[in-house]
Amino acid sequence: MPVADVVIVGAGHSGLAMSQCLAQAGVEHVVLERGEIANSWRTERWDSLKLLTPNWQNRLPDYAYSGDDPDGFASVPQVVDFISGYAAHIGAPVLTGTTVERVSAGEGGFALDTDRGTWFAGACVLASGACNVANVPKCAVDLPSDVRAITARDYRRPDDLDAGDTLVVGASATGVQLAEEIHRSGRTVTLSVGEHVRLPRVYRGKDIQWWMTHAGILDEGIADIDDLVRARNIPSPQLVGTRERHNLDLNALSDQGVRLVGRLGGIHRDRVLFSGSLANICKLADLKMNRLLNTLDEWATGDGAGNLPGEVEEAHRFDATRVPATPELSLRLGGEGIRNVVWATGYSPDLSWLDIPAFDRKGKLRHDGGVVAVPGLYVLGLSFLRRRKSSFIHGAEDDARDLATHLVANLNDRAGARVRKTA
Amino acid sequence: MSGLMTTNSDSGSFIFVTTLGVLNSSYAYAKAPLQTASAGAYDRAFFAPRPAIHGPQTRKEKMSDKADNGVNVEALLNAREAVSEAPEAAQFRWRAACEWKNGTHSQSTVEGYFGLGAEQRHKRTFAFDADHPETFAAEDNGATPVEYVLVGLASCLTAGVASVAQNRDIQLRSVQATLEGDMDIQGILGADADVRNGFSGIRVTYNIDADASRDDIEALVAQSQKRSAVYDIITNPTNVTVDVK
Repeated sequence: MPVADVVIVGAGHSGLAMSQCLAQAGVEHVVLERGEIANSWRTERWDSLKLLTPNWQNRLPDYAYSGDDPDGFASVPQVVDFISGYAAHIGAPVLTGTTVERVSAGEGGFALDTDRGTWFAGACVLASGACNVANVPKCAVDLPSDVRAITARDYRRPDDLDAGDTLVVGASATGVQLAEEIHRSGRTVTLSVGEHVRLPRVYRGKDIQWWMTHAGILDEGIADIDDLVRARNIPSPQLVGTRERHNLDLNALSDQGVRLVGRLGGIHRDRVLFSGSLANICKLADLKMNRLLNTLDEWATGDGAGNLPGEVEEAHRFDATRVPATPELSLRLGGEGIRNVVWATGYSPDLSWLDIPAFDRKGKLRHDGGVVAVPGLYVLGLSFLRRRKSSFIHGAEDDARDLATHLVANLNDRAGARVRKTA
Repeated sequence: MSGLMTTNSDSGSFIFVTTLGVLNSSYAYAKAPLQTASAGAYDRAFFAPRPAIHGPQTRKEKMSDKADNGVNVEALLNAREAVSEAPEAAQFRWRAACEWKNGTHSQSTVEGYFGLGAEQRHKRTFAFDADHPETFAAEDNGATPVEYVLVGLASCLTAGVASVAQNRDIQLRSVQATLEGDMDIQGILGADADVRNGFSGIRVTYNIDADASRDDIEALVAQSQKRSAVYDIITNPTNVTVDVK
């Protein structure tokens, strides 16, 4: 009957960051991993994906990027190497090939049933990822049978699709990247656009992540945010990490020949229907981007003036998003119409194995900055967990340190209580 | 910064979705279950009016540095919090009744609705005459039904502008909107089967005078669309059933 003070579920960047923080605090722990280290990166990402963050930004507790391309963007194999290298660097106690099938809470701790026996732990850290399950709208079941449907989680490359016109649903980083790639494969691509986050790759000569980092925006915490539910549901920004550092906003896609339509409205027989709200959706994204750029400009002339390297270019604004005068409101599915639908409609964590009543009515884990209401239970790696940067690799560092501090105090309190009880 | 700001069609131009034309009249409508919660199960004070602060005196005393557009945003925000805890209280059912008068003239009334777990009533019954103009060889006893659609959209978006402005502490001085809906009546006359019955497009133009920058005013109008029921009804497909008793 294996026992550990703490069991961490998942050996990705978050779980390993927590492992290092606990090791530094001298807390005995183990990391259970269903596959290999960085498993989701190895098995659930499309081939061409690169991180949205430049290499210089990628760091974990006591570990930083040390290659010769700080402004480059890591490919998936490079991310796997980075995370595996980290596990080796810190000597993380990882048990690979161990799938957690059920976690339950008992007196004084947790039982973790795995396919290789049950672990008992005083505390448990859920670090199994935010992108385990691809979200698909309910109406997906109404797609005609001659239309090939694939989620961004299962998509690897354009060859996975049938020949013919392709509808990409969703205009976050995933949707715009797949739309561009599939368009370049020679297929006619239509992109269904709901609420999205428009960001330039480069602003005033500097990567947008440079601005967001130095102006303190990525460090904004949950206490700074009025509407946390909304902040946690914001889609990933329309960015791509390429050597050319090109913008991948809707104008860039339109210029390449991708057709823009509104948010998916429904499927009726052999027609897919789109909302007539595209103009407003784009307006909202333009206004929000400009609000951010205003903030960055104000920072550059105010608090940030001393931090700016000399060569920052003049402030400017980008063209408003160009929306077709009369976007299509419906398209034919199957036959001569759309032959492929790619669902780039977001991801959810899979915590179906967590047998603890800690979920809200929409099935989301309730937590306060990663601290679950069940004492000793923590979660890492979710969108805006504690800070705006929580969803990035480097965001795990501060989050893991904070939660490790909380966790250690919690273990000590309980140990103290046991000692008092025994005495 | 103040001054007359005009927000025109590039932020307020909507395209009417073709669905109603495509789907014809045989809709399946998934009926929401009738709410069974007992009357008054939810505090009507969700939306209860705040103590009067609209009067100039009160405003001077309490709100001199705050925008006051006459919208009780606090109650709306409280309601949002309350319904996220008790989502069944958020289930509303709106109703209208209609009686044919003569020709294309009918009169519709609204009075009761269901919400907050109980039957509710307007302060009085509101009546709306609808007809068609003389160009349609009718008597013009009221606005045409499609004009009521424009009225619904205009009033919904404008209520939204006021609410969002209040929430963002922006004082409005005047808000005016003009709406245009384009229609090829070959559709409703059955003269050309390729022409839809409804609007081919709707344009809304706002003229807003407020204590805010142009970007902030455009953001009010954009956010108002994002939160508007009628905008959603017009831009997205809705299942409709029409039965005969």
